[in-house]
Amino acid sequence: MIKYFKILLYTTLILIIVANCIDPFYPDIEEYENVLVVDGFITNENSVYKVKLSRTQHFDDAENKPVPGAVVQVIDDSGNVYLFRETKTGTYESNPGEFTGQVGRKYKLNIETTDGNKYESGFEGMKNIPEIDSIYWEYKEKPASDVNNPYRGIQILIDTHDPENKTRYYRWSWSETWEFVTPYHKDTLPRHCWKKDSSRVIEISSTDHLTEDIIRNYPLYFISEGTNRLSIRYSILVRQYSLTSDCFNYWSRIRETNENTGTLFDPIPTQVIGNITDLNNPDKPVLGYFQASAVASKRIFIDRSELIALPLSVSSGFEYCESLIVKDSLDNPRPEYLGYVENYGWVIYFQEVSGPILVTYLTNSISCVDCSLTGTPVKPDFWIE
Amino acid sequence: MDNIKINQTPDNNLLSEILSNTFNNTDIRFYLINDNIILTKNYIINTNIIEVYDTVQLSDIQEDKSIEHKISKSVSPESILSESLQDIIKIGNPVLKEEKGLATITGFIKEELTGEPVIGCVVYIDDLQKGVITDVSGYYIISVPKGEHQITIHSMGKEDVTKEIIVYSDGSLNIRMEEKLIQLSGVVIKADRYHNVGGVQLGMDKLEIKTIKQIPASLGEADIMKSAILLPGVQTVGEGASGFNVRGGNTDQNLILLNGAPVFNTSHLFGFFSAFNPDVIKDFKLYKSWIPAKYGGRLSSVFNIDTKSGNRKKLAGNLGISPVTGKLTVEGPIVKNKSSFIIGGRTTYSDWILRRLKKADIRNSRASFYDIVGKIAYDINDRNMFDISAYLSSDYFKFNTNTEYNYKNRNLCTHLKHIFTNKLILDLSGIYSHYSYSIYENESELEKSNLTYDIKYGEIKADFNYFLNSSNKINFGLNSGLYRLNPGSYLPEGKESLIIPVRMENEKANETALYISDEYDLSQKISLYAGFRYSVFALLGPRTVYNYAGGIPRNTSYIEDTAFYSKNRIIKTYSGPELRLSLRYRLNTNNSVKLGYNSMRQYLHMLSNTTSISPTDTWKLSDKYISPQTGNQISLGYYKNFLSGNIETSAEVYYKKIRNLIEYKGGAELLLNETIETDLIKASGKAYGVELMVKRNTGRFNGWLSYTYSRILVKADSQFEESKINSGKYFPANFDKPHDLTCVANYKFSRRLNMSGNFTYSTGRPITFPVAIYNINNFRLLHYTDRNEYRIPDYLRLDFSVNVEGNLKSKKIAHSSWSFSVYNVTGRKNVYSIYFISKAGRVNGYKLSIFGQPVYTISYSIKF
Repeated sequence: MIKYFKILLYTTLILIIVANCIDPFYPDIEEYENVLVVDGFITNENSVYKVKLSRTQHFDDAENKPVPGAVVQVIDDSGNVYLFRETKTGTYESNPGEFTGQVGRKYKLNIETTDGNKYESGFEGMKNIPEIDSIYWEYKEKPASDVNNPYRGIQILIDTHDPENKTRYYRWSWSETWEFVTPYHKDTLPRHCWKKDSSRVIEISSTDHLTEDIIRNYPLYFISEGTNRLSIRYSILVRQYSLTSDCFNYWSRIRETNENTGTLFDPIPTQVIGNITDLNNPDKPVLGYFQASAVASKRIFIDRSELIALPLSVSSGFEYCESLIVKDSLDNPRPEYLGYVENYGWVIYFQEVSGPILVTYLTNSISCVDCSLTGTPVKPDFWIE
Repeated sequence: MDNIKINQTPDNNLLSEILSNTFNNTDIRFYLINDNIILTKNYIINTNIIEVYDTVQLSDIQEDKSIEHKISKSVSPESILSESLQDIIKIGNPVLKEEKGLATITGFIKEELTGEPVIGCVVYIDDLQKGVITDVSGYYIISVPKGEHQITIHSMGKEDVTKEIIVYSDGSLNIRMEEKLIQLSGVVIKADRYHNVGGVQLGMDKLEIKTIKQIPASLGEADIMKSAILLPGVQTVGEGASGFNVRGGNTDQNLILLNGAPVFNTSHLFGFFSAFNPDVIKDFKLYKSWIPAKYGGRLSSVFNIDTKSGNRKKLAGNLGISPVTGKLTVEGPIVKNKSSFIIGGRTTYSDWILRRLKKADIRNSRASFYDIVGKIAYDINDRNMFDISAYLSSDYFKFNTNTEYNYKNRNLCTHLKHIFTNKLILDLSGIYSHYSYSIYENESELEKSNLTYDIKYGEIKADFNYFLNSSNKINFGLNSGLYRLNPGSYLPEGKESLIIPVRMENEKANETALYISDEYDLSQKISLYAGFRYSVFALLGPRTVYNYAGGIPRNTSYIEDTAFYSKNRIIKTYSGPELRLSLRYRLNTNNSVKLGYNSMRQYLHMLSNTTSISPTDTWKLSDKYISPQTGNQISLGYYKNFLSGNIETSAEVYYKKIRNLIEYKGGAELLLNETIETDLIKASGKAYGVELMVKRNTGRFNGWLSYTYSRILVKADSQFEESKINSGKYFPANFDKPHDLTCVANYKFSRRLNMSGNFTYSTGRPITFPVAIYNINNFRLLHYTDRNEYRIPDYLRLDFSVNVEGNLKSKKIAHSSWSFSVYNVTGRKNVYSIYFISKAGRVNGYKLSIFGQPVYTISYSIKF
């Protein structure tokens, strides 16, 4: 009885609290609101700044809708006007070397579209940004559905602080690069490559509720053992941006609206409006935020050798690869590999004649031989062995 | 009595002959019952007649009572308790019988077995088609023309008591009722059989705990709030959501009273359970349209829960085990027949279960709750009755993170009933409610903090019932309450914490109301209830009030000046009248039409911009910027009973207007916000609907079927774009579910076996879908505009349960029962919510269902 009761308890609880099921949902959304989207960002780095103009897309429509032909200007608080030119449809860039954002100054964006509509952002101050104190990592297990088999990996964390207690609002982005090799190789094909990826998650934090402007142990990114990122050598470049409090609120609302958890305790999603106004029709929404931030960046490397002691079973990224080496006599033209090629889509990546024998190297995917298909064989400039 | 000398020689005569000779030619009568000789003066005691004298007008009442008692015991074993029609009860002084007119009968209805008062039972004069309901002390008062009548006492789960009475003058009639022998008696829902047609009230439902316990429960735990949702006009946003919506009202518009004190958070485990232990609850009444004038402060409904009074005769208890909770109730007399106690506690072992689960994030989570209810009742004498009750509920949970939530309700209620005369009764109560929560954040040393919120409410209520005459029942009184709120304090914990302490200014206010109502029977056919309530609300200092620049939306950047109000200075007052009217026109015995109008005011609001009440939602008082919510409802109902009241049908329509609803701007910050008014939007609402119901109360097969069509639309319009929702047009509220069909059925196979099923269908609730996608900084983002333009799929669920009683031998020490239930028999994946996530450059839609499979539970309980 006791045993039965226990089982009952488990099932009940699991059903109630645990086994709520989540299924994909494909909505039939007819409604569509077509509004202007402004993606503009200037920094204090000496580079070309971009402002992208587009229209919102229908929910089911993957196609981007750039807005060409607009007049785009950035104006600073002393009245200097910097004209951006369209380099690609809907993408407007500053002239190289014409201007660099300066900490302490304020900037605003002016847009006039071909239909004569005018848009303007509020003045956005560029605040100072302190250096990143450190980027470091630690071994971490993330809970998985099976408690005995959690997600293992390493967690990248950052520390930063502003001794003047002025920055307060931070945003981070990162780009990662890692080295990998294919399991099979052929002399003419690259085997050793680097791959890149960048952040797709909104990473922001504020210290406005703290007595000091200190951020410690901010968990930026979790690298799972299930990818080949840690298979040889890995590097991450973190960029840290200063935000105004309005800009921070904007991103925090964007995050809230787009990373809903589906419970009834989430705020009902609403429209998120940035700092850009339609001058002809101030009640009409304009999406996006014209952001002016100072940037600090830092890079670290993580070598496989540093992870040896950890209970990680890092993926090579090529677990799917299989290969066959078929040795066939030259006078018998019925190579069995042809069946693989025809029926299973295998690829002959190399053939050589060794005396009277034809040796054929086959693999189920050419990406198992040629690393340039998933990465680049060119070693990045910053790469330190 | 005077002394009488008896001068007789007993020469082996029978005693009866001696007595007969003795009292011949006197006004004294005698009765021989076993070895007792009973003498009376003036009155004839017929063995079939029981005499009851007016307790007030006759001084020798005690003697009379003893007569009544002896006769009833010796002559007729079923006597006064039984349904024997042979007994005729005389009420009042026969000397006064010649005078024409009306007489008032008063008395207490108590349970035979436990001596507990029978609350809300109907005392009905069958020939007059007129009835009254007993109050919380089991007290009733009714006026009838002098003469013969038939009186029926009816209460759910009890044997009906029907008596022939002869009324001579004002008098009292106390009646004890027996439990129906069959525990699983068929009655399912009881909106008072006689009251469905005969009562003045519209839109009132009452459920007894026995009924509630038969309804299949999701977690093997009978739940009063979940049962209430099965009633027409009551809805919820989703499974496991706390709170309910009555006729288009928000969850905060329900006044939930436990023994008269408001309960501010009514759920355990975010809403999976209600915070009331079913073993200690006697019943609940839900007023959704006609709300008596003595209640106020909330717009939509009054949900009045009464706990049991303890057993006055012997010590008894109840032990129950279900998959998630264990509970124990003990009750008994303190002084036999005079005072009693009851205490019931309930806790969960969910923590223990969670620790044994495999999934790590669940395993590291904690969830626990408990609640305790206790009550002591003491009858000081016939005219004064006192009781005191206390309630504590507590919840704690933590989800795989280092954030711990804790919330608590603490209530204390004292109540004194004083009967001045048979016509004037005072109910005096003092209540205190305290709700608090805390969120302890322990993720990092730097940000270790504790956030606390508190609301305290104390109230004095003096409620008088004055029975002016047979056709006027007047109720008047005064409520005065004081609110004290701590809207939040956020403080660092530990030495390393860098949290800047935030202490929000407390809020304090007084709400006082005077009310008077008359239940007036114009004629047999027409009854009228007219109630008037006038409430005054005053927000008191100390407090800082910001004044904003006019002509633009309120914004913290445009604070023109700041006013500070010192302690107890009045910052803002609101006041207004509330009308409660109800008119019943009786077409005939089984048909009536009722028309009602009521207006309500609400000065306390819950701030919540989530779909359901969340554990961090707070209550806020009206202030300079937040006007009281007001509601006006008009309703019309038609009631018809078939088969002498065994089948009741009703149809009600209503239309309601709500003003000063609170809505929120996008991204509103509701916690620790000193300028909350800048994030709020004033809205208005309209709700209308039709509620149809058929129910069968008695017999082996009973239950109800109800269909509701209802709409609730909200409008937030303003001269400022940011204060508009859906461009200022009407939009459906989160809980707008137009069609709702509910069927609750109960079949009794035998005394020991009973089966229940319920079926629920409703339209899916409204939900907001994105109307576009856009790209910014490599993120694919969702664009939302109009709220609640879409709906989640319809909801459909079937539940089933079997209740088995242990054997019914009365001599057993303990009585056990089992209950097996299956929730969501079909395993339908009812959608709870639909949401969209933009991740890694992709937008995905998901639907979440909570109970995607049948949930089997078993629970066991022992009564001793």
